[in-house]
Formats: sequence, structure tokens, C-alpha cells
Amino acid sequence: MIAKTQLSPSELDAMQDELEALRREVLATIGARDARHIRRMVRIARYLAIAGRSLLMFGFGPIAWLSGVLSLAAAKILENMEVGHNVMHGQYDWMNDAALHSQTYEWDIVCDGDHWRHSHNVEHHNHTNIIGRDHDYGYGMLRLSAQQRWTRAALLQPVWYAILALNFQWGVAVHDIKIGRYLKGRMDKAEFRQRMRPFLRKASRQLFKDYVLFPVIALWHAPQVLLGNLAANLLRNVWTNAIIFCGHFTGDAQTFTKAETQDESRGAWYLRQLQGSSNLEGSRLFHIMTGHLSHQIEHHLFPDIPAPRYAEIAPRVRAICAKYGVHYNSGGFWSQYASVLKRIVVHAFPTRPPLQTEMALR
Amino acid sequence: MFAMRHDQLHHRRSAWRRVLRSRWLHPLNDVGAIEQLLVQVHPALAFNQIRARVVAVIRETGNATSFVLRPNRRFPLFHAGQHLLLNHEIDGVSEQRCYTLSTRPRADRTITITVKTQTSGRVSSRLHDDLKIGTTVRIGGIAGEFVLPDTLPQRILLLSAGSGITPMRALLEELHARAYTGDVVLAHSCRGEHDLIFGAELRALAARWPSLRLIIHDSAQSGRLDHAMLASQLGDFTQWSTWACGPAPLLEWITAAFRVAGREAELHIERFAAHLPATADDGSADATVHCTVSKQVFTATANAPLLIAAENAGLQPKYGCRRGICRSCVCRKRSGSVRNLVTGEVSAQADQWIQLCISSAQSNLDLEL
Repeated sequence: MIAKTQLSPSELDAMQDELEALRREVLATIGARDARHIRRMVRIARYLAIAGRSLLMFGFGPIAWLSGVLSLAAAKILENMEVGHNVMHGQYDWMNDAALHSQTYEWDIVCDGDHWRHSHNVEHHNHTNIIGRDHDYGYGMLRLSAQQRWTRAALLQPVWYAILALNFQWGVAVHDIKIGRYLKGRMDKAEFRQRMRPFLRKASRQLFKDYVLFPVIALWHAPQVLLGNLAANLLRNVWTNAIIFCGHFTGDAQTFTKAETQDESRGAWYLRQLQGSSNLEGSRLFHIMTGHLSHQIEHHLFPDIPAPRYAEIAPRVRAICAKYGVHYNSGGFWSQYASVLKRIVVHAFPTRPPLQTEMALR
Repeated sequence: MFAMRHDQLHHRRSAWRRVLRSRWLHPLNDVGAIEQLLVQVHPALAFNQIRARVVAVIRETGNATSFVLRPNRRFPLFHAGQHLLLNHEIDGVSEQRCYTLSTRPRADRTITITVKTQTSGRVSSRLHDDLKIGTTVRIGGIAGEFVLPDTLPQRILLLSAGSGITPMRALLEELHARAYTGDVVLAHSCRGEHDLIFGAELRALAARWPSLRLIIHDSAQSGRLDHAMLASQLGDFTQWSTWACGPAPLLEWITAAFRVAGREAELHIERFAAHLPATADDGSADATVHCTVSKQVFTATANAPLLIAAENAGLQPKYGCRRGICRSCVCRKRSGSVRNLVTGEVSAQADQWIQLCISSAQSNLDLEL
């Protein structure tokens, strides 16, 4: 684990100015190219969904079934990650297209859009990697840092993690209900019910679509459609989980304490985003299939810039990092994901925080 | 008996429609998505959107062009004097603007809009470059109250300036088609002959239709058309039922004249731009606006639209026409008071829908934005 970089207030201000100048520079060039990109992504996701569902419905034999599953999974991944996630960040609000507006977009996943807009855009992006504030850190299930309290349940966390990865859309869906708070008696029943309602509505629609509507219209092909939809959902879950966990839980991704981040300046917020996020390297297709979350660092600096621009500004961000001596956490998928899995195993046991941070905690 | 059966039928139809539109059938009934895929194959396959193909482009004057469009079946019936909402994408941004239909409904179902290039009009100037014969445009709908009544008055004055003549041509066509026998005067002000849109056509119409009298005012030579000049031609013009369309100063003096005469009911007005004062004149303090959804805070002046203030602060609310017509930018106001910059109405009650593009802050506000 590398050491956290600390910058003086004047260095933070200077870095903030450079980053914001970069942001302005990119925003000034946004236009028809970005509109074409997102419309194309929407279209490809739809073609893939139609192809996948048709293959599952009308196809014969295992090869047709498998192609159907892969096509439908790709459609869901593309729609959730490159379209849904990015649109809901407001990356395309400037297009003034009601179908691509952050406040109204609803995605093909059991997680209700409004819940997501709150837990992700408001909480996670503000409090990135602050233990106890960023509820995405470990998703309330996993101990990924020595700064989190150890319980005996943590010993089994590789198993919990496997369950979470397979059912990731459900983990995301119940995230903003804050069931834990209700179970601990810190939320009354009325509020809990109210928080459950959008989840139940969205989840039942999604379940109905994949496990009733499409199987039923497939008539005697119902079993292969049902199983195909299940497989596609599982594939999407595992992929999105792997990518998302690589965003903030890699070996070199830093965590922060509430005390450390009290009265944090805008510049310090940028520094935290830089040190708490990690990138994945790969081809253009790989970046698209991750919804450009492979450029997690750039995304966390500027969540509302159209995602394909992240790849373009990455060298500039890396240069700014080098200038201020901040580690730019980037690597291939397998090495980054291996470091995430290592964290899950290591912190299953009662690890101790390094002395320095322990001091800071006091 | 018949009415009841009709009612039942209607009820059954709407119930069926509700089933078809149910969220539970999604994505099979995602009309927008299906249409987008079809349009990708061929623009004419649009079945839900109103679309129109450009069939002719007519240069009217140096800076005004008519576009003759052939809309699809979704295009609604309209009345002479109404305008349509035209969607046009510029650099990836969907813009919506209102353009007056400059003809009455035609038998061949074509419609015409006449667009003047304005130095400030981002969309209008781009239309001249982008719309070619064969181009397909999307239309948001038809709107407008600037129409003739069923029973026509005995004396009609059509008063316009500049591009304000576009609805007047449609109204004249309508009057002529209805074989109107009363007196109709078109008083129009423009900057000389080269700036006169539809000049030859209107003169030909006046020549063969004795009811029509044209008063063409050359503002380049004799200054702006004003109250006194019109009175010198027509006498007490407030005795005429009047339809007026043009720049704000013209509409101001004609409104004042009819108000003084107590005949406001006989004056019909079409505004091309929401009349927005550009600078603060009463020195009132800036208001603080809290956005309850995005948790952002911005300041707004008492005389500028909230939409502009929000955009200046980096927010990107939904918007459409930006002049108070399409209601794309409607936003729930939780508390505070705003003034409608077009009508002057004040909304001070909590929980009201306001149009951001034509509302200005009168106090600190909480907006659901």
C-alpha cells in the first residue's frame, strides 16, 4: 500500500484551478459528436436486446441459446453502464432531449432511478471512500479496510462477496432503502415502508418482464427464455460488479476518515477523488462495455462530462497528478481485480490500521 | 341513446388503450424506441411523431425564406393564424422554436412557414442552412389563439411590422376564402420594398379583391409606424377589430390605444418574443434560489428569467421554446413569489407550477429543480 499524498492548501488551490480549467476546456467542445455517440449507444443496446430476446425466443439448440444470452447480457450492460449510469449523471442534459434527461431516465435494472440518483449521485460521489459516509464502501456487507470495524461475520466475507456479485443488481436496488438502519431501530416503520415502495414497484416490473412477460409470449419456448433471461441478468451482475469494485477498492485506492475530511476544501475534494478512485486499461470496446467506469478517476473528478471524453482527458489528468506527486492508480483489469479480491480476503481477518491513520482517528 | 352508445364505446376504447400503454408491457409497447428504430430505416415510417418533409424552399426577400412542408398524418388540423413548434437539433442540442404558419390550411395538406434570419436567432439562421428539399423535420405541435372568429366583424384591421406579416398572409387567405365582404385593411411596416415579404402576392390579391386595402409603411424613409400615422390613414382605428403582430413597441402603443378606447376585447395580439426587460430598472435586490432536488443554490435578479439565471449558475433545466409556450421547463415552486414576465402575473402561493423561461424571482425561492 502506497502512502497518501498530502498537499498544502496553496497546492490544493493550484491543482483545483488546473482541473477546473481542464473541465471548462472540455465542456466548451461538447456538441454533435457526443450526441451522436449516446444515440448510437442507445440504438446498439436496443438492437442487441432485440437480437438476444429473439434468439432466446425463436432459436433452437445450445448455440442459439448461448448467443441469445450473450447478446441480451451485452444489451443490459450497455444500457445500464454506458447509457443509464451516464445519462442519470446528467452528462447529456445539455442535449435537451427528454428521453436522455438525468431527472427522468429509468434504466433496465431492478434499482429504482430515483433511489440511484440519491444513493449514487448525491451520497457516493460526495463522500467517496469516507468510511462511514460513503455507503458504497463495502456496501454495508464487506470489510475492505482496516478502518472498518471487524466482526466475526467478516470471516465469511469471500462467500458474502460471491453472493453479492451474483445478485449485484439487487444489492444496488436495496442500497438506498437503508435496511440496516431500520433493523437497528434507527428508522421508523412508516419511513421504511415509504422507502420500500419504489423498490418494490420497480423490482416487480423487472421480474415480470424477464420472468413472466417474455417467457409467456414465447409459448412452449418459455423455459429457455426464462433461463436465458436469468443467465443474462447474472452475467450482467457479475460484470458490473467486477468493474465497479475495481473503481474504489483496488489495493492502492485510499480510504478517508470523517475527521480527515471535515471542512474539506474543493481542492481537497478533488485530491480525495484522485486518490480514492482507480482506472482500468483496455481497448475502446472495453471502455464502452464498462460505461467508461474504467476511467473512474476522470469520472469522479467530472461526473457530468460525457463519458467518452474521459479517455481523451486521461493523459492530461495523469500529467496533473504527476506534477503534484499524486499517485495515478491505473492498471489492467486482471491485476486491479486481483488486488480487490485480495482486500476482501485480507480484511476478512481482524487487520489493524497503520499507526499513522490510527493517530489521525484520535 | 346514440350518445350513450358512443360513450360506452369511448370508455371501452380508452380502457383498451390503458392496457396497451401499461408499464407492465414495457418494452414491447415502448412506442418511442420502436419509432426510433423504424425511423432509422426510413424517416417516413414515423407513426407517432409529427414529422414533415421539406418540399419547396422559396426565397421571399434578402433575409426571409418560406419553407413548404408536407407533414405526415399525425399533423393536426389548424386554423389560419396559428403557429407550430418546430424541433431542430443544433450541435447536438434539441431546440424548439415557434414559427407562424404563413398560409391557411391547403387542400394538398402542405403547410408553409416563413422564417426571417435574425442576427440573434440561433435556430432561425441555422434553418436557412440546414433545411433543404427532402429534409425531414420534427414538429412539436400546433398552438396559438391568433385566429379569426366564426362570425366575422364588419371592419378588420391587420397591423404588422417586419416578420409580423407571416400570420397576416394566412388570415388574409382565410378571409378571402370565406368570401369576406366587409372592409379589411392590412397596415404593414417594413424597411422598404426589398424588405416586404409577400409583396407581389398581396398586391395581386388586393387588385382582384375590392374589400382589401393595403397600407405599406416604409419605416426606412418615414420612421417607425406609430399611433398618429395610422390615425392619419384610418381615423379612429380603435373602431376596427384589430389583429396585431410585430415588435414590442408597436404592440405597446396599439394596446394602449385600445385600452384608452375601452375596446380591448377587439384587439388580438401575437407576440414573437416574450418582452423581457434586459436590465434591472427598479434596483431590487437579487433573490436566492434553492434547488430542492440538486441541492444547488443560485442567485437570480428580479428582471431576468429564472431559466437564464439557473443556466448561468451551471444548471441545465429542461427547456423548449424559451418564450413561455411549450411548457417544457415547467418546474414546481415550493415557496416564494415569482412574476410572469409576459403577463405580469405574480405567483405567490406555495406549490405552484411555474415556467422557468418567463418567470423571474420576486423573493427568495425554493424550486424543485
